[in-house]
Amino acid sequence: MTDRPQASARALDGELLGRLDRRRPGLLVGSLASGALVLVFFYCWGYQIANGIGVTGINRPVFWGFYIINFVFWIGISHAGTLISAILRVTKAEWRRPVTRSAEAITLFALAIGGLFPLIHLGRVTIFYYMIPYPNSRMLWPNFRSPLVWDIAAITTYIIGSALYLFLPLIPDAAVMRDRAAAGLKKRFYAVLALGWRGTSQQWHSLEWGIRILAVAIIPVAVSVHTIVSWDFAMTQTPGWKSTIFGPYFVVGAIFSGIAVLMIAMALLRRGLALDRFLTDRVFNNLGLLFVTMSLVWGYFTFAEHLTVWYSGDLFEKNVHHVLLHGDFAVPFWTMVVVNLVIPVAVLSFPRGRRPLPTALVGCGVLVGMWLERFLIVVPALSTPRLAYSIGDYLPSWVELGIMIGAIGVFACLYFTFTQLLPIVSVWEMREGWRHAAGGGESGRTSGAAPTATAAAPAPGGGGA
Amino acid sequence: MTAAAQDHLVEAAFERVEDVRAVVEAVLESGVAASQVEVRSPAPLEEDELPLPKPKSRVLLFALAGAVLGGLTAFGLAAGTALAYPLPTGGMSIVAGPPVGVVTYEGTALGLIIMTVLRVLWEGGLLPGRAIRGGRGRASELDHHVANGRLLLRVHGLSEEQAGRLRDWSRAAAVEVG
Repeated sequence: MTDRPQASARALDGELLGRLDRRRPGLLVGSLASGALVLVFFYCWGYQIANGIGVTGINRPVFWGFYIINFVFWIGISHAGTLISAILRVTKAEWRRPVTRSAEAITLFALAIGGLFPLIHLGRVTIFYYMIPYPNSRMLWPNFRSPLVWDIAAITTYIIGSALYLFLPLIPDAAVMRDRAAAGLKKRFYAVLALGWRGTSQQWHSLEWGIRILAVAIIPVAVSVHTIVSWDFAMTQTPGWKSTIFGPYFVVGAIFSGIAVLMIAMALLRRGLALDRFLTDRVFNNLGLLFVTMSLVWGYFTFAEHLTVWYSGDLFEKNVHHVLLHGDFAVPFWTMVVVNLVIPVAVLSFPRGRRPLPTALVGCGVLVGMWLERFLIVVPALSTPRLAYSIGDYLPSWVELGIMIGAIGVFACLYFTFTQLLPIVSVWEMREGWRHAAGGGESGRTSGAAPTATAAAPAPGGGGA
Repeated sequence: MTAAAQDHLVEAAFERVEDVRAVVEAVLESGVAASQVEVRSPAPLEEDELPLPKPKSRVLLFALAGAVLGGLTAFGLAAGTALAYPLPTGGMSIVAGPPVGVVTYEGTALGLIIMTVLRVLWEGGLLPGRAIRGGRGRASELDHHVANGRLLLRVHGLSEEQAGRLRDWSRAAAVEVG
């Protein structure tokens, strides 16, 4: 593992700002390509609204299909950012600095998309307000005993918390962009985002307090969100769903898939924006270690879940278990085990495997595997009910496929747009890291980016964990 | 001396914190109050880096108040709904612990998060309509130095003589004096 040669903090600061200022045609192409998928998304959704939920493959007994699979999948991905970023902040891991912004943006966009899927699944999307508690002439009021209403409460809290957790540390960087931009629309845009930030000691002091509190508060919220999503399943009597470990199992899977997206996004950013001096090999190595750990934990939970079902000897549970391991769903099941456990452990256990390209490729596999996991939770359990005469099948329609692929486009479009407009690497946090690394606050006392004749800052993204 | 004569503002951009510290020490020794001195930095400074009073924050207090407020609101919503629309289910309580607990938990977190952010913005003078006292927080011609990683020292309410002295002290180490 080698870090880039050391350079002065000033040079690194200039380089980072230069990287952020430079326009990247690749990003624009990415935005346009993903924009085309956005059109696919809205066309398919519009078609479904116009023609009714009958255009999907959802029917008895499989009344939850791709939409709920994708809901769980995207909510899982949303754990990439806020949770990982918060844990790294709370533990004061220095290598978090180039990662946090990217991770937090993933959370917000994935959560927004994940939250759309239950609305799409409603069919008549306009009636979603039935779930909101407000006095109305039709005497409609949500039933708080339902785990589906708990979902609304948890996801609303998480999306507001994640948006604010992304926004708060973004304010100083928006001010940097404002003060560097030429007068015009761009400057006004950043001025609105910066809210009049000037970098006074009071502002920094309050901001640090705020970030510290949010980091601590957001961790239990993130855990609760996926636990509650798991309870949508586990609170039922359906064979294959009734499990006491679904909460932690879902949370572990969510973090696992979240890290997978983060690894892919970071590898793309490193290459696309030439950020290799900031998103260093050390960052990939550390995240790779976390990644392989989560793979092992996920494997342990999967084993524990299936072992207890098999050992119980319960007839209905064993029916579902059988179709998973040996029946119609055996191919996706064993594919999931290979891409989620065998390949990550085989690749990431070695330092050479924890470099950007291998980790990104493993991440792609894990995303496929985690989507399959959600599919294998939803479909086999519903298609193998207790009563043999109601055993059914499920095939998604082109509308469901279009919405699923389009959702990936919506996510990519939002992420590319964000990356073009705002610093995807937190400038002030990098400056703070360089200060710490250079001994700022003790004797070095440079301004963060300021040069000194003697103090050379260690490579960014480095520093001790 | 008139109020206008006591209202000079001197600004200077520096590369190094130690240069700012030297100037601030000299300014304070000359009789200028610490409340007149403002330092803008591109990243948070350590508490002991400048000889200025430590800023105070009540973010934690407001966060806890927000948590209590959010929790009580959510509890009222969930428990009130259970009482308003009772569902008698064979020996189970009308106001059941688990659903009320889940909703209260999320409400507590939401209250804490929202109040934390509002308080941070309030203390930093970042909310619309929040008064900016004594010229603090106003935009400066030299703000671009902070964006580029330098420190900006601003001293308000100086007499002409004090302002002249401060400019002389600053010129030795500052990148730009305004």
